[in-house]
Order: sequence, then C-alpha cells, then structure tokens
Amino acid sequence: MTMALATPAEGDRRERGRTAVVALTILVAAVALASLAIGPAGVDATEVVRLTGDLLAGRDPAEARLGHVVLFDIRMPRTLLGLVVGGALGIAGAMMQGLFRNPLADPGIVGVSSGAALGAVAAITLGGGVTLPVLGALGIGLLPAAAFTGGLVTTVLLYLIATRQGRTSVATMLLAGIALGALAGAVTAYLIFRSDDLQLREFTFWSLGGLGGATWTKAVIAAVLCAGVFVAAPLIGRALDMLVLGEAEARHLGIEVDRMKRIIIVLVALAVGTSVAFAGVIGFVGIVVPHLLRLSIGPEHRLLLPASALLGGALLVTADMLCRILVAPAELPIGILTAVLGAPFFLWLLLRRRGLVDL
Amino acid sequence: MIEVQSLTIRIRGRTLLDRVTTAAAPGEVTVVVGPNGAGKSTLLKAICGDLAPASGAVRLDGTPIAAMRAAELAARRAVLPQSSALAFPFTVYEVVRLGLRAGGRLGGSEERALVAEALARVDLAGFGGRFFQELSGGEQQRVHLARVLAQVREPVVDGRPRWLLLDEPTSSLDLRHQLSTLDVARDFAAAGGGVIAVLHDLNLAALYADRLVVVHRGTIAADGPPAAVITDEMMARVFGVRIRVGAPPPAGTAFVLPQTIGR
Repeated sequence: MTMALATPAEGDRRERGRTAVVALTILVAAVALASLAIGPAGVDATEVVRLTGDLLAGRDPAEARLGHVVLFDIRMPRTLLGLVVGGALGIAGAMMQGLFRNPLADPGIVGVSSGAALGAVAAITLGGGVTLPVLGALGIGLLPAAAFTGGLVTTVLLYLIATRQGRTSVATMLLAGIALGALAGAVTAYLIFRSDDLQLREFTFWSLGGLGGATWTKAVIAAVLCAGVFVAAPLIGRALDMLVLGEAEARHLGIEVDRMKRIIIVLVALAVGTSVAFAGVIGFVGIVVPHLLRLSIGPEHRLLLPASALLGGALLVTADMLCRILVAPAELPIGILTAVLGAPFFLWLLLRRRGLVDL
Repeated sequence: MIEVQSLTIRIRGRTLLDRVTTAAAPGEVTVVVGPNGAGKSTLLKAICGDLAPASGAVRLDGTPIAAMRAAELAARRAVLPQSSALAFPFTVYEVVRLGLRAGGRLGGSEERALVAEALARVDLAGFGGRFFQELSGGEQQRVHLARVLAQVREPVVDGRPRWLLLDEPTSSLDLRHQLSTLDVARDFAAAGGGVIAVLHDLNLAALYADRLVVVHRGTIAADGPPAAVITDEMMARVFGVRIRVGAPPPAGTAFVLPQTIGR
C-alpha cells in the first residue's frame, strides 16, 4: 500500500500538476528578480540586493538616489503589474476555455478584450473632466470599472448567442466573437474620431499598452482587483471540470450550473477588464499559456488555473524584459512581441485541431 | 421510491408528456421502452431534474426533486448520458474520478482503489492511463458507466436507496457488453438500489426488467411485468408492427436471442 501511495495511478496527473505549480512559482520568482535587475539604467543584480538591504535597514544613502528611483519606483511596480496582468490573462483564458468547453476561446480572439477596450476608451473620451488628471483617484477607478463593464457585456452576449440548450457551438462562438469585436472596434473608432486633443493624447498613451506606464497606484489597484480572481479560481475548478462533460452532466454531478456560469463570466470580465485598463489589449497569452499547460499536466482545472496564472505572469514579465532589451534605449510595444510569438502558435493549434473546429 | 405524479412537460408549446403517472421502486430494474419520439428520454430527463414540469411533479422518497439542490440530488442518484464528448484531453482515470469528486474529496490509495474497481466493473481494467477521446464509442460509454458507478458506489446509504438513471446505456455496445452493462444494473438493484433505464431493445428489456413502462405519444401505454406488457396487441398498438410475441421464427432462419445466454 505504501508503494501505491508513492507512485500515482496510471492516468492520474495530479501529482505532476502539483510539481508544476511549485516549479512555476520558482520560475515566477526568478523572472521577477531578473526583471528587477535588467534594464538600460544599469542597476544590476548586486545593486538590487544592496538597495533592498538599504531600504529594509532604513538607510538612505544619497549617492544611490538614482538607483533607488529606478528600482523601487520604476522597475518594481512594472514587474508587479506584469505579473498581475499576465496572471489575469492566463487564468481568464483557462476559465473561458473551460466555460465554452473549447481550447480556442481566448478573450482576445472572441472579442471580450475589444469590449473591454471600448469601455476603457469610453471612460477616457466620455468621462471628460472626470478622468483628468488620469492619475487622479477617481479616474484611475473609472477606467477599470468601464473596462470591466465592457468585458462583462461582451462575455454575456457571446455566451447567450453561442449557447443553445446547454450546448455551445464553436462556430457560432468564433463568428459571434468576430462580429462583437468588430462592433466594439467601430464604436471605439467613432469615439476616438470625435474626441478632442487632450482626450486623444490620453487615449494614445493608454492604447500603446504594455507595462511602461506602470506606477505603484496602478499596480496595487490591479493586484487588488485581480486578487479576487486568483483566490476564487481554485474554488471553481471542480465545477469547470464537470462542465467539460456538458451542462446537464455537471448538474447531475451536483454543480449549480447557472450560478457557476455567472460567477465564471464575472471573474473573466474582471480579469480581462483590469488587464485591458492598465496594460491595453495584449493578445495570445490567454490561449498559449493554458494550452501549453494542458499538454503537460492535463486539463483538470484545480491545478490548471493557478498554473496558468503563474505561467502567464512569468511569460508577460519575460516578454516585457525582451521589449526593454531588444531595441534599448527605446522600448518595443509588448503587443508586437506577444502577437509575433502567439499568432503562429494559434495557427498551429488550428491546424492541429482542424477536425475539432470544423466550421 | 421515485414517483412521477401527473407530470406534464411542454417545450415551446409542444406537449411531450401529458399527465404521466408512474413510479419506480428500489430493488427493481424499471425499464422504459417506446417508439422513437414517444417521450421516453423526456421522461428520464424529467426524472433527472433537467426539465421543469408544466404541471405535476417528480418525487424522490417523497420530496419533489424541483425543491432539491443539485448537490443533494447528486448524492442520491447518478445519470448516465446517451453520449458525452469531451473538449479536453482527459484520461480515463480523470473522467472516472469526476464521479468520485461529486461525493466530496477523496485522495491517495482509497481514490485509486475505487477508480480501479469501477473500471473493472465495466471491463476496462487497466484503461486508466488511456485518453478518453482516443477510445471507441462503446468504450467511452463504458467509461461513463464507470464514472456513474463511482458516484453512487454504495447502492444504499444510511438506509436510503440510491439510484442509477440510464439513458440508452447499451446503444453503442456489442452484445457481450450490452449484457454485462445490464448485469451491473441488475446487481445494483439486487443490492437495494434503484435503476431506471431507457432501452430500445425489447429482448434486453424483457430479459432485465422487473417492471416495464411503455411510453407512447407522451402517455403511459402499458406498465407492469414484462410478460404481461409485451403482447401482440401492444406491439401493434404502440410500435405499429404486427408481430407474434414469443413465437420462434421458421426453421432455418438465423436469429440471436440474449434470453438463451448460458442455457
């Protein structure tokens, strides 16, 4: 019997999943440290250790002033925001794919990000005086709230359109996602078209996306908003696993399906809305991360969801580092990098699963 | 006891079941038969709690199931679907474990033993590591049976019977596995549990049913022990075939009857 406990049963990948979560946690720590130590300002790893030691000991040596600002006011909030946004995108992708019972459902592809972006742009252009200055407490709350609303409305519409009697049609979901995304894009374009110079500047600043504009305020608000998603996710894992069998089957297994679906939709909208509000539209993290993980630890959500958050965070912070290094001292917009890496991956996925998509 | 009381089910204005009253007792295998579109799957879905009645009720040991929470029902009955495709690459082990997880958390060697036991019951011992999507239709159906058996592994808990609700459990199985699947159902009933199964094959129904419920045009056309229910008259009235029940075919015709197994 001790032997039975030592080696997991054939087909039981839970142990592998636990190992992966531990390994990914270490990876996240390593990537975060690297992100703190790498950049054009020349604050390296030893500097990071020394400055942190100074801060903890309450020392404030004047000659280290610049390094202090670079590390604690620029790189640290940026790294935190990257981990939160990447984690939110990874976990939102995994939740949505579980809800729609399809590995191709990604907030970026099926229009949820566009809906959130519409919300954000509406807040910038219609909010007018309220959002100014952008960093004002009210403005910084309005932007994510509007993005969340936009993402929520799109997700609900998408679900209502694509699901009939508990069965979600993949073709309908993808096509409806394209239509909803286009509609949101058109309204967004109109709002930009009729906005004044000041609003336009704010919009441009926001639409560049990425983590470059990170501040402690933004990073902390994003972390607080997404903390709810990260904490709730493992609790809905069982429901998502049973939903994979179908809605009726999940109910037969004891899941209050309608309530769970509402919770999942709100969590997806919260994660996507927050990430879009603070980092713009970043594609493909939500589809690449859960898929890679499913290949190694299997599709059970209790471990897939936290693992997706960890890998998503590590991936986005790594991409951000590359953006800072590749064309230094300039910065590459992060969307370019994730699309260049993610789009071919998505095409490969489509080709490999051609039978499953079957439009 | 599962009681169906004057149950009417309407979907988009069409009446699928019209004031149906019947009951199923634990310790028995109750089989629902009927022609295509008669309403037998609708009846089973209503008993599972998938369809809200327009009037009437389904009661489980006296409590209307509409008033019960999903988790409460899941602890008392398990449902085998006709077919269920999976969107993600679950292993057979993980699918069967879903049945165990419906009853709360288990772990380690106990979980492992229960999954292995359920797989052995459906003749799939050693299949735990295979991917569900790569199995044949019949094997997939048996994996789901194992999952359902894992969910209600004890036929009686705290003196209360648990139920297996099976929607055409033999539809994609070969003859040997049709028989072994229904043997599982019969053993479950013999141990004190209740079984309601929708079947197409009248020979299998006659062989395994303690009680046969014939559904026709949304009503109950006949209800009782198979020998009393399956008659020339019923076959003509409900199934629209003029056939002689119990008469052997002319000499020289090849035929296979499950009733002759082991004789």
